[in-house]
Amino acid sequence: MREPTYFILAALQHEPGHGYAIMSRVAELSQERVSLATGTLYQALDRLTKEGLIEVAREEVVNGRARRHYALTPGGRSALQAEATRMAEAARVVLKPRLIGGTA
Amino acid sequence: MKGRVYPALLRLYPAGHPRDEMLDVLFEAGRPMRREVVPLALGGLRARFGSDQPLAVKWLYAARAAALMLLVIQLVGTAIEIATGRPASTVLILSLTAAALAAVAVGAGWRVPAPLLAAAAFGLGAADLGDPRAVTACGLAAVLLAVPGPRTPVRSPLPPLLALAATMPSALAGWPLLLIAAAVVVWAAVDERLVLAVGLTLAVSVVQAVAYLPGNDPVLVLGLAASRLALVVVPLALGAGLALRRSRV
Repeated sequence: MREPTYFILAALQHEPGHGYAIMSRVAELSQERVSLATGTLYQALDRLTKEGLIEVAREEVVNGRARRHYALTPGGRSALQAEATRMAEAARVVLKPRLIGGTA
Repeated sequence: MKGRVYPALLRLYPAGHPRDEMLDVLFEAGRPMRREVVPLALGGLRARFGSDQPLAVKWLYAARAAALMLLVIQLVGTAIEIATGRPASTVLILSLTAAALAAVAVGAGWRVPAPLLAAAAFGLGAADLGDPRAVTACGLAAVLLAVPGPRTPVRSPLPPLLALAATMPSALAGWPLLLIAAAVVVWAAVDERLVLAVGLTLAVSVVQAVAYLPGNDPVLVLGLAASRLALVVVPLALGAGLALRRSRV
């Protein structure tokens, strides 16, 4: 899973969010490392919706314009959990090598 | 400035895209325009002209486009030769007719007639004193069309234009060919299927190098084969790399 995708899914893990909220949460969660341009964000949202990882949870009208709120699907939540577990295990190899080797 | 540029770029997106919502996000984020413009334009072009199909399907679309290019090259190239004095036997005319009908069949999405007609053009071309272009181009086109896949090739004017430029006399073909080839490479940022199609089309030059070895000089033959192989590998590697990257979630 690519890093922007991971943080977009992570941005939606607790509650649905609209485009700007997702963009802000991604920047915050990644400590400003991943800063998505609007075009990139909406390409990713489009792709993730087609892949069934997120869905449009609801639409509202703000200042006369439609605004979609995106939410994780069960498949998206599983994919996010699997990726987080994979990265945690990979990180453990480096951060706590002696525990893994059984010599601590 | 942003008030004019962003709505203009958002018009690149097809209807049904949340353009209004994107415009809100663009203004809300308030980033410098130089950071937003390129991803916004690329996103619109990809949404309108690109492909979000699985990797294998992209290859199949590219194979159909390559077959169409090969048939056009065979057709126009041989027609130019006849116009400039090549004797046109009945078998050659029949081969050309079959190639023309095959090209129409590919464009129209007739799945079964297309490979059969390309194979007929191949057979007739081989019968006509082994016409090398018919044997290699139509043969490869028939093989590419025989693979089950989408009905139509990639919808773009670039493959037929590239094929036409490739058949022009070398004195005229240079710049147009180079410009169209550059356009295909640039367009790979939007749709990588075209650059894959070009790579598959150029495979015919390897087939020709192997089928019609020039003389007995092994160094010359190896050099020719290597240079033609590079012509195939470079576009295929570029297209496949981009397609693979975009297929990752």
